[in-house]
Amino acid sequence: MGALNGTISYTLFHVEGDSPEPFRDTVTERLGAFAFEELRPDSDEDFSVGWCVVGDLLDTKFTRESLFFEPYVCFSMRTDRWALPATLLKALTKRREEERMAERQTTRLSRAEKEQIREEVARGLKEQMLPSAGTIDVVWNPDARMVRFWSQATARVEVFQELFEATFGLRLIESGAYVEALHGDLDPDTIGLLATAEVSSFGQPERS
Amino acid sequence: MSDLYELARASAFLGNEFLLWLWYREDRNDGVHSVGGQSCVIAFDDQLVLRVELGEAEESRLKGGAPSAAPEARKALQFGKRVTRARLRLERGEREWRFNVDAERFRLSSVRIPAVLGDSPEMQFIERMDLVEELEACFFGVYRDFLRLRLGPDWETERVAIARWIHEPVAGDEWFDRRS
Repeated sequence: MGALNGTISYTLFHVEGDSPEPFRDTVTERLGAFAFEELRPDSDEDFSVGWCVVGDLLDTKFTRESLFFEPYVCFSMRTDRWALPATLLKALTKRREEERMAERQTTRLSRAEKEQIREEVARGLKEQMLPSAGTIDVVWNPDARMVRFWSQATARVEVFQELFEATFGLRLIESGAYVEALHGDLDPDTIGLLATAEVSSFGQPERS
Repeated sequence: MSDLYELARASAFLGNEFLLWLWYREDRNDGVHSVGGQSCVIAFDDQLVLRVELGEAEESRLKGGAPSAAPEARKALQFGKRVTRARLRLERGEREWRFNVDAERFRLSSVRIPAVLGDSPEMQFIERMDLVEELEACFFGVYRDFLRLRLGPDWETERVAIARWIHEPVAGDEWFDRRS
């Protein structure tokens, strides 16, 4: 489900700051600079996040044709994570520790040795599996200074916000009852009253 | 950032009051609103969630048919429950959108837009986004009209009228009374 088809559920942001210029060239270049990079079994990283072309999580070569649909800019955030089976990791680590102790004819291993064994076992598992991968679409309307991110999951929204702000140097303000009051045609006096507004009571009114 | 965050958190109740006001306006004037010189209708659809915090949260979830017209819904309001989530229908001209609103986060989800007619996938995408933006412009436009009223001198009259509407006798009152 995403920007191109399916259910429409998203988080709306207002963009603070001026769009980069020249817009198309800069956006294309910045997305490339923060493009998704694959996780490697021999790396310490268990999580990777970056941009990819919408509709193709394997494509990180951004072009004007794949990005710009006047007036919108559309791309995806890809996240990969190693989801190691915890029970198997624990069992294999325990067996390897026992083998190491038998080799050394000892009954104890240091904390550093145990950690090293755990990392070796984890690397071995990673070499036999693929990380869990997902993409979430992003649609940016620079004219309206709005961005829609096709998820409402708090953790994903936070990762997206951080990545977008790092990529473009622009601040994202999430929509809400207060924020939408600021982004319309309300006069400053009315907006000022928002800060002191209190919850209304709808209890049974006295009969006159 | 923290100021904005605090203000946003402190103003979250406005989402509840806005949905309540939409419900009241639907009952009183068929949900007709005017945004940018064009009229639209906002009506409650087939899902409604009301909640009150009394030590523990008590929630009423009503689904199917027209839950806002159900006596249970009005009774929930009378018990002090507030609208926390609703599925709404917005009509503008010949077109219709349906969507869920989370009152406190003020977010739209499960949005169903009018049919897109573009020939190519690109045109369909642009049309799809335009329709989402049109929905937001209309819905948030009505919200800002609500804020003008809510923060202005006429709110007290409206608040009392809404309170009276909430506490009007509803069908099945005797049944409820016997139960309680």
